[in-house]
Amino acid sequence: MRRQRICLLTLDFVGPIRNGGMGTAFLALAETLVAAGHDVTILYPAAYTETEPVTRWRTHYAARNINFVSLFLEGTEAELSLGAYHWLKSRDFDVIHFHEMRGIGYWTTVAKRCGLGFANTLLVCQVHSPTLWHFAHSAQFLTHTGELETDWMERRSVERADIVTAPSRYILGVVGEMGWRLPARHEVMPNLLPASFTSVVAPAPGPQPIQELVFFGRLEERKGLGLFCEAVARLIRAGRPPPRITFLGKVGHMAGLHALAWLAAAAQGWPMPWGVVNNLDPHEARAYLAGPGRLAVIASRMENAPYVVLECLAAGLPFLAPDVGGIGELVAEEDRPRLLYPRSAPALAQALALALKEGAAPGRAAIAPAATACLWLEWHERLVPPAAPAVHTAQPLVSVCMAAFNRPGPLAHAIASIEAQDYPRLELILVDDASTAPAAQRFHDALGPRFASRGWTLLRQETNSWQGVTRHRAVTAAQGEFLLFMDDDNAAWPDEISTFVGAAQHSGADILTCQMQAFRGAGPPPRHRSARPIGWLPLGPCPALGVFRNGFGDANMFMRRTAWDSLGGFTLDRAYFEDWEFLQAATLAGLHLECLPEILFCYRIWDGAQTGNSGSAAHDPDFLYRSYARAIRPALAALPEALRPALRLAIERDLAGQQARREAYWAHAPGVTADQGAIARHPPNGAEAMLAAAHVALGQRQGETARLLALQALRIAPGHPAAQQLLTRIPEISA
Amino acid sequence: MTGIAALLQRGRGGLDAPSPLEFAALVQPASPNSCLAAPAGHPGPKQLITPVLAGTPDAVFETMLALARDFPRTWQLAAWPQRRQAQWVERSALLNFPDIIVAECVTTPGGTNLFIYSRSLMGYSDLGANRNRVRRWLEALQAALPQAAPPPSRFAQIAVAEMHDQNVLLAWDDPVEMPEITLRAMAAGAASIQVMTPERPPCADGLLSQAGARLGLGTEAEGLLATRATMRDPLPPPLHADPGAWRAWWMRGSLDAPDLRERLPEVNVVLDGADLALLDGDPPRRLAGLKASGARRLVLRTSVVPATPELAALGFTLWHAGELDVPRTTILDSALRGLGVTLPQFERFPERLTRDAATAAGLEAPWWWFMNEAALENLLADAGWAIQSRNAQGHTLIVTATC
Repeated sequence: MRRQRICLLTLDFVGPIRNGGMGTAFLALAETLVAAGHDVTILYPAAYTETEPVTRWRTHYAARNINFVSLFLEGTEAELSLGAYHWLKSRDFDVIHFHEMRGIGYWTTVAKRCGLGFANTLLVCQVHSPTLWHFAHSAQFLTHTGELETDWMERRSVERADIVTAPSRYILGVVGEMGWRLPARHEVMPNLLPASFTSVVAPAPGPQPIQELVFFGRLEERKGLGLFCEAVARLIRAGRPPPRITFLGKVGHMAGLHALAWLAAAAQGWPMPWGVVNNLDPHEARAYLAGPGRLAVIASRMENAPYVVLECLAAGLPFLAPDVGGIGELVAEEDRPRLLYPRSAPALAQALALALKEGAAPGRAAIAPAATACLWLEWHERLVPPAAPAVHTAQPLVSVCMAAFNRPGPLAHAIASIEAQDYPRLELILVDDASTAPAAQRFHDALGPRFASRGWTLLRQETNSWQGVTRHRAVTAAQGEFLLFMDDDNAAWPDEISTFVGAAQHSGADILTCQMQAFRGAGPPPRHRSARPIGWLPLGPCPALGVFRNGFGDANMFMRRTAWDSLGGFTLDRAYFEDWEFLQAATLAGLHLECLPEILFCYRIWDGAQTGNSGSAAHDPDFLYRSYARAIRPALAALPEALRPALRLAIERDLAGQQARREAYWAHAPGVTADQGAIARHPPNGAEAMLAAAHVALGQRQGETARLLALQALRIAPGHPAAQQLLTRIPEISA
Repeated sequence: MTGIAALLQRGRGGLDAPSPLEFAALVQPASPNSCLAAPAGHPGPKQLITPVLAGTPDAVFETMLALARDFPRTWQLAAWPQRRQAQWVERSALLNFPDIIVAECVTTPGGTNLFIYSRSLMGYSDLGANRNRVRRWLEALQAALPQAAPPPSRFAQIAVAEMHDQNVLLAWDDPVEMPEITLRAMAAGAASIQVMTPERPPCADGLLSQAGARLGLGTEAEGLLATRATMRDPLPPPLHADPGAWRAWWMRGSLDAPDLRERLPEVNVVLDGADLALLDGDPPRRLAGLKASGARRLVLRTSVVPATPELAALGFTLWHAGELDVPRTTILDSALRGLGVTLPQFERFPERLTRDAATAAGLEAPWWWFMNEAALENLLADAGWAIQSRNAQGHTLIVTATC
């Protein structure tokens, strides 16, 4: 056997997570591989734990020869995935297994695709529970753009993996129907049983009489609690009530209610006793089910390859399960008619009645646990290391296109950061957008000889014309095969251009964006690269997310000149989001875009700027409206005219909500002053508002204005006593 | 003569003429209406022991005289500066009962000390009034005297020895130790010093001033506050600001910040006295955060469990309080008791301790982690730190480590 270095990257693992099917699958795989002599590392990036701190599990698994590593990260799925990538890239594994759920392997697949690492590593994505599939079978609506983000990362991590496995054919079919493009090598690999699984009962030969029906699963609709109760009700109505019923599982929610409260009503009038057992771990639950005369009843709406079925089969416990999802694949074909039922209340009632009448016998697994272990070990044995990637030695010319306006200090840092690049073939085209500040003009004048010595280009606009125009002018003068757009107040890390060039050559991408390190103020950029992106974490070319927000990347983007030409460059509106609009248009046009998981530049934040934290004209509602209207143009254009209002409604309802809650860009708008609040709490066209405005004016010693406003209040409400009183006092107060 | 005349007159009126009291020969009345506080070495009966006081006997005597002038309903009867003794009368508010107080400052082998004797002239029992008075006078005197500089703790000694010419970060939260070690580090020639914790006490600057006065390092404290007072710190900036920008001496910040090195000044040495055993979280996370500060040297103080054959038999290296059972708890308890450490949590939660249970039980600072030295070394190594020296005292281990 070839000893392999294998990493299992997971957000679900037995220990920090209590009861997760995926966590059980990963643990069982780790144990099987270790037992076979492989070198296994579990990478659990999160700090999250449902039990003791994660460190406790490192010791626990070390005693089992499993290297359990945590990065103690907190944050979104994208942040956890990014942290995992950064840890993995400096290690050398033969194989990395990761699950698709929550996109934990997303950035690792992007990195491999872009040649940033993992040339000798096989990336294996296991499909267990895609988020949108889970939502669909839980009757759960999408409510947040973060869910689109997760869906995108899951989808892409499957599509970009070298190999995809799944514990059932069913789930591979599901993701295919969802439009996910599976890589050429995708296959079914059944779930393994963990070493802690021990058979609790020797299977009794033949059917055994049933005295107790045990609903096995969390007490909630998704696990079929309603269906089960309805089937029981049918049995009662048919005069064949079961002797006893037990609900074995945690109490969840039903119809917006505590499931126990729901159950109390549903079971009203049942002639037999019923109870709830909600304090057992999986092993204890199996022991309970092994008691004499008990039949496990599974009623889930949908399942992939549930461990409850696998464990009942392995433990020789009689059960009934719905023939949904991948359940059937777990059961030996000849036992399916006996153990599986079409998922409906009448069918379940019929199966229960039969079991109560004739008894129930355990079934056999489609694949025995020992055979599954052999399957996984042989699978690893047969793995072929990935082919060596193509070596690119060409060094194409890169044109850095930069526009500048009145910021000589930051511009000096920006230029210096380009001069410090470790990539040799580049030119800088700087367009002065008609700077008016004398210091800026002097700085630009002084740049002439410096640029000339390097063969760089210095251009000047006659009138200030914003970035759209200036960037077009820079591109017109550019000679490079690749363009890098850069703001005059940002700063590149020295490897920005070389990293972009390498990634473009390796992936063939047309456009590349990257992560950034935000910093504040007018001073020099940071000295140390941040451990993680600060301020924003763009994901890449997800057009669905791009309808609602820019998940693509910043205007600090790198592209082939051909990509710029094919799209005609940025539009020229005087509004924000030219990058968002451009990148969405590029994605929808089918250009190849990648967002790199590396921090390649520093993004300066000015107070009052687009991403700053104080008010400015740029946070004017009209300006923001025009900016968003620009950003959504590509998505609207991609839809038939008849559907565009619907898309506008979806987007603008989301934006209106942000505006009302003063979130996102509206959070930067100036705060409401006490004076404003005093006026705004009255209806806008009433006398009270006018009178409040008069009081404010008086407080600002604007006596005549106060008089005019008070008079208007009297016109609106003749005889208004407070207005009359104010009018009589204005001369005295003003004096 | 003391009697009705003393009761009927105010102030010093109606009292016998005072004469110096010989404390060595003092015999207290059999009635419970007097109280004597005396130095620990005084051979005769005494109800209270007076502490060694800061300052010379003359200075203490002068302070005593000055203080008593402001005590209510108290009049000085006489003073003998050459023997540093004075006597006063204090009358009760309602009934005008006179009580006599005699104080004398003395020199003892331990330093300046004091006798205070208070006795009632009327009645049989004073219901504790004299004892309370003596205590009150002693407290007032101690508060008025400059405090003697306490010797540095062992951790402070070891840490300060590492600091000369170094840029130092203090990264744990202790309102007494932070100002003290900051000032000692400055006095020891640290190139720069920065305190950073997620939160800081609102009176951080006041704590620094007090520490300056206590340690005789008031000049250092004033100098630091003149340039880097915390009251000027608006908020931890959400993003890195300009390098070199002004920072409070005790700034708010997290070791988890991705741009930690930008938020901090340059750091060579980081100190952590938080005690990993008390950490309700993951020790490796904290150790990694300390390394992310950019420091190349770490001084860490933590509690460790001694090695015993019983613990070794159970394979003990690192246990969390949540994974204990009765046998483990029993053996841990025995090992720690051997060092004089008794953990109340063992009695109340012999099996396992959870955060909820600790909160509900009102447990203060329970030990969450039990580790031996080998486990600590492994934790440090995982985070990239190699131990260079160890200094153990009881269950406390102070290590210096480099990376």
